[in-house]
Amino acid sequence: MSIRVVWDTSALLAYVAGDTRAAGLGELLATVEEGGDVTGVPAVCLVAAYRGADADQHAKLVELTSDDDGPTVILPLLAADVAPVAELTRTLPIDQAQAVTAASRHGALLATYERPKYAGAVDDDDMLDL
Amino acid sequence: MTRKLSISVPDDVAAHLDNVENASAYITEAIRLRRRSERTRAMLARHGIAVTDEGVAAAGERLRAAEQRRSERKVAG
Repeated sequence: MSIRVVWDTSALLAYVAGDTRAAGLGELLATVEEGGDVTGVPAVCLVAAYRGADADQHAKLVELTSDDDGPTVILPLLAADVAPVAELTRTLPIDQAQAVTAASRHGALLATYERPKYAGAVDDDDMLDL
Repeated sequence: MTRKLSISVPDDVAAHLDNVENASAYITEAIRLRRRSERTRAMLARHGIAVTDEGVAAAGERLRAAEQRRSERKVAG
C-alpha cells in the first residue's frame, strides 16, 4: 500500500463543501483505494482546512482522516522535512509548503485546485488538476 | 485466528485460483479490499457524495494518464 495522491487544503475544503466538486474528489478517493493504495493528507493542510470549515465540515474532515484502515492517511511534518518546508514558505503558505514536500517524499501526485499558486515550486507533471 | 471453510466458486474463478500460490491469502486480501471499498463508499454517502462505478473508473483513467505523463517526463530527463 502506497501513498498515490496527496490532497492539499483546496482539495480538502472542496470535499467538505459537498458541492459538485466533492463527487470528483470522492471518485478519486475511491479509485486510489480500490487500487490498494491510500490518499495522503498533510497534517498542516488538515489544520488549515479545519480552520476554514464550519462545524458540519469539521465532522466530515475528522471522519475522512481518522480511520486507521480508511482511504486516507495523515502525513505528519517530519523532522527531516522541517528545513525544506521552511525554505518553501518563502513563496508558499505553510500548508502548501508541506503538501509539496509530502508529495515529493512519497512520489505522489499533488491534487489541487490551485495549480498556479505552486508555480516554480512543483513540476507541472507532478500535479493533478481537480 | 483462522477458520477452514469449504466454498464453491465458478469455474473461471477456480481456474484463476489454481494459478495462485496461496489461494487463502489471495481471497482474504480481495475480501479485505472489497470491505474497505464498501466502508469508504458508505462514508462518502454519509457525507452527501454520490459516486458511481463509471465515475470511479474515469477518475482512475485520469489518474493513470497523469502518472504516465510524469513517468515519461522523468524518463526523458
